[in-house]
Amino acid sequence: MAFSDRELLARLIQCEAGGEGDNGMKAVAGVVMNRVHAKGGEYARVGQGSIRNIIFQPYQFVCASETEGGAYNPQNIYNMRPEQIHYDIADWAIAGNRLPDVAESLWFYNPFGPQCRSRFPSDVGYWQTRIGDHCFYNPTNAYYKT
Amino acid sequence: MAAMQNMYTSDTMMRNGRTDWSGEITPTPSPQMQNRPMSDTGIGGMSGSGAGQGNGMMNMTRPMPGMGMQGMWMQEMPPVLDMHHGQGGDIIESPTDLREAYLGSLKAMLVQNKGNYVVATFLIGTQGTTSWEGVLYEVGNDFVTIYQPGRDRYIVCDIYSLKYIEFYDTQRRELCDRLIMESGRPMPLPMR
Repeated sequence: MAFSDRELLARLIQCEAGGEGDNGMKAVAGVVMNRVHAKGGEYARVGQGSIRNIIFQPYQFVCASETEGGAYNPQNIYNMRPEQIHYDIADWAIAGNRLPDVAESLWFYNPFGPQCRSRFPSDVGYWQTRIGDHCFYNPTNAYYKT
Repeated sequence: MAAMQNMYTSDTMMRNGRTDWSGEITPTPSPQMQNRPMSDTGIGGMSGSGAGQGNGMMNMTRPMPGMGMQGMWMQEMPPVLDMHHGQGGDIIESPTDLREAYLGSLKAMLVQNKGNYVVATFLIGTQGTTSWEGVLYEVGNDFVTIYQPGRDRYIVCDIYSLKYIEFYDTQRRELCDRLIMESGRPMPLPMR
């Protein structure tokens, strides 16, 4: 039986940001929901307002795939066992809450270093803030042309 | 924290089997009626200035409930609040840059109607709500400021937990209260 949207989001939160604390998880959840509610651009077109479409959009979330670079990726949503905190944060984000700092962010990544790139994934996103090990990016004008 | 009484109760709002909102917000008088002496209009001295003009809101051809003067007929009156976003459909459906995305957003609507009296309802957690009323004083990137003249205080609120916001024309607020009192409906509870 397929996972519900809430289950998918909770698993993704745990997988992508389980070690980042409550704010780190809330920020990641916010990114997912911001894509779901994107006003235009690629995520509006591909997602069509669906959490499932956003999470499973190819080449977006590593945790949504069982393979990475041709090899098995053990850190995926199917191997997660979400706890109450993950469901609570999923509910929090689905209800419309956002961390103010990343309320518009559409991308995040782990630089595995002290510096965040000024642009990510390309010129469509500018650096907004860093929470824990994740750098967050807001859309630029270029995003709306995707 | 402000406690708002919900005035929209189904048992008081039904007229001819349909919900009748006419008693809640009185449109501003037409320019012709504004120039009439008080004895004619029954409401006296209302000015029509406001946030902007839009299409005609409603054609009131029956007496307003609770009006002090009998035979008071409200003609078609333009709304004071401008709740139209004024953007083309393509901008809303497919914005091509940040500005177009902003123009069709809640923030733009709030900025457009700054200065009006509002009741703003915020989501607390996932199920709780709380409401703050006052004048929409400022709209920022991630906050709104509500000014409460009675308490002479400003309340800065998180815009991202704002769920819905009721707009009232500040110039008609006292009129609304008087009409509601005259109609015998209970007044809103005073703020705590």
